[in-house]
Amino acid sequence: MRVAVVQTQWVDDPEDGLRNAYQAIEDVCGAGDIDLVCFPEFLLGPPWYMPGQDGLKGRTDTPIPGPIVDGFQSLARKLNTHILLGSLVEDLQDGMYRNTSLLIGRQGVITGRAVKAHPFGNEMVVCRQTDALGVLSTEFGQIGIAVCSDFWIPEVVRLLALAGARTVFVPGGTLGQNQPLMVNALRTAAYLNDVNIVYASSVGVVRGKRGDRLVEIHFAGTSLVASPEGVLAQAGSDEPETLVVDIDEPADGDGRRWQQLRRPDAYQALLTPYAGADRDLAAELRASLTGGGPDRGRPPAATSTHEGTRS
Amino acid sequence: MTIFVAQHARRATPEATASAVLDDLDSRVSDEASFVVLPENAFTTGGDVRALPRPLREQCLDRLTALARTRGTYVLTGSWAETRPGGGLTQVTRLLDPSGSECARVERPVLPDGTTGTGDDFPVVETPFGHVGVLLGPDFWLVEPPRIACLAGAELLLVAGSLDGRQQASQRAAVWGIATLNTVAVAFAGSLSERCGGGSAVAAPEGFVAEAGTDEGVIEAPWDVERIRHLREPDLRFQQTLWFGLWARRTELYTDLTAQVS
Repeated sequence: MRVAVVQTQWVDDPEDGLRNAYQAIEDVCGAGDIDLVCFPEFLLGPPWYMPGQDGLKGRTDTPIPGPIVDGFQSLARKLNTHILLGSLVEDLQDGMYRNTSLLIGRQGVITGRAVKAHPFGNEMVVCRQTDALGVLSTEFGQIGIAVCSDFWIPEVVRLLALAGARTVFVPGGTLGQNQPLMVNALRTAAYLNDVNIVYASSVGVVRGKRGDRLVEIHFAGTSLVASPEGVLAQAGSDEPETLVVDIDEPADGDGRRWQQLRRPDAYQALLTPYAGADRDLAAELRASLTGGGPDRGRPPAATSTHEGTRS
Repeated sequence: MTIFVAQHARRATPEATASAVLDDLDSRVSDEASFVVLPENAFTTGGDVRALPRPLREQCLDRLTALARTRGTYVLTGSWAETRPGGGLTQVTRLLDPSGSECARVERPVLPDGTTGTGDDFPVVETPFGHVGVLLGPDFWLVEPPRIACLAGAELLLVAGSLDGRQQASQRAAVWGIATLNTVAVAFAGSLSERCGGGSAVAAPEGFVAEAGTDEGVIEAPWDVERIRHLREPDLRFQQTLWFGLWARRTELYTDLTAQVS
């Protein structure tokens, strides 16, 4: 499978984001046969519920199906390629949203979708999540999709691997402070689960104001493709770029050996919460969104007039 | 507070291996020690896995008990094979407390090919230096056992392990990766032999703190449980995000992990 991983740049205008995405597909497919073009999470730009992005409501969210998706379906058909729309903010038309990843096949038909299961930040309040994790059957075999923060729950890639996925796509966004550990964590997940990991990320800074605070979130790219043997290709952290990588189904490696040693009956504790989880984070976020909540962040940041992540 | 991790090449006889390991620990482990960690098959020769002779076993345990008492430290004894009723071989590792008493034990079967099997118990022990999980052999390389220990509150994983895979560069990196994915510190001990590539290390979620690579010796690293507790505390400003993997779980989605998979 020849995969093109498109590392996007955050732009202020979602129309520009859409044009850039179309252009990236045209460019990479024009240069050679590509089986699948993979985009990061939020390929159109920041969701309106990201701090300070209220003005984007109705602009980077979209109904599915809808004109945005139609355009990508036409491109897939025209260029005879699969397109994995890392994620769109799906407008459910009832005041709620979903963080939805779509797989469009060569014929321009939506052949699969994955909805983020583990909401991050304000998604805990404004988004609905999937109630099932599963693999997708494709002409390349079974694949899995872990939408951004889903990756950070190790159970997710494990479940996808056990369900038969040999390649797991992770549309995400590397927070600046997490860059080195993110690369190694992706590599580790590939090794332990004996799968390929295709990770698409974005670069740039999302800025806005939340109350009287300036919010800056730095995204550090580092899109990559990893096999159980290690990282096959990795993008930089500052510029948009496209990786083109040929990936094969992994030969049975150490991860397969470990999986054969599993003792599922002994793993019931996975179905219980973390022993230290003694707060209702969704309630705290809900309260903070309405301005009345206890702002129980860490003390050093609590009085800052500048927040966000830095590279 | 310091973690010491032993990594030694296997000698021609178990006695020689034991002498090299224990003498080195005696000279290197200071009174600052909180934890001392030895590897899987700590005193074997590198060939077939056989039961450690009882006198040698008792001698090793006596010396490790003395180390715990004199330095005031917890000691994960590493493992050695013992014969069980019926003749089966079992790898056994013990966690000794600073009084020299055994406070946790993990036993795993020796498989027909001489490698160590997996098991059903993943003990977590409360200590003055934080909650520690005890793992032996390949349980560490499965996603589930380290995860279960961390869900139960383990802040540091003590691993009597082996870097014995075919993809050792990835395996070495995974020591850190497992620390990251579980927001935990890892003290991993491995041996050096034809099959085992060392890899002893202390890893924090953000990176390796100390690595032995393929060198023989005893590595040491500072230990501060408050750092792990800090990383695990939810930060709803999302300046730090490593807490997320423990807190944001949806347990109803994971039932397939407890089912037999064909």
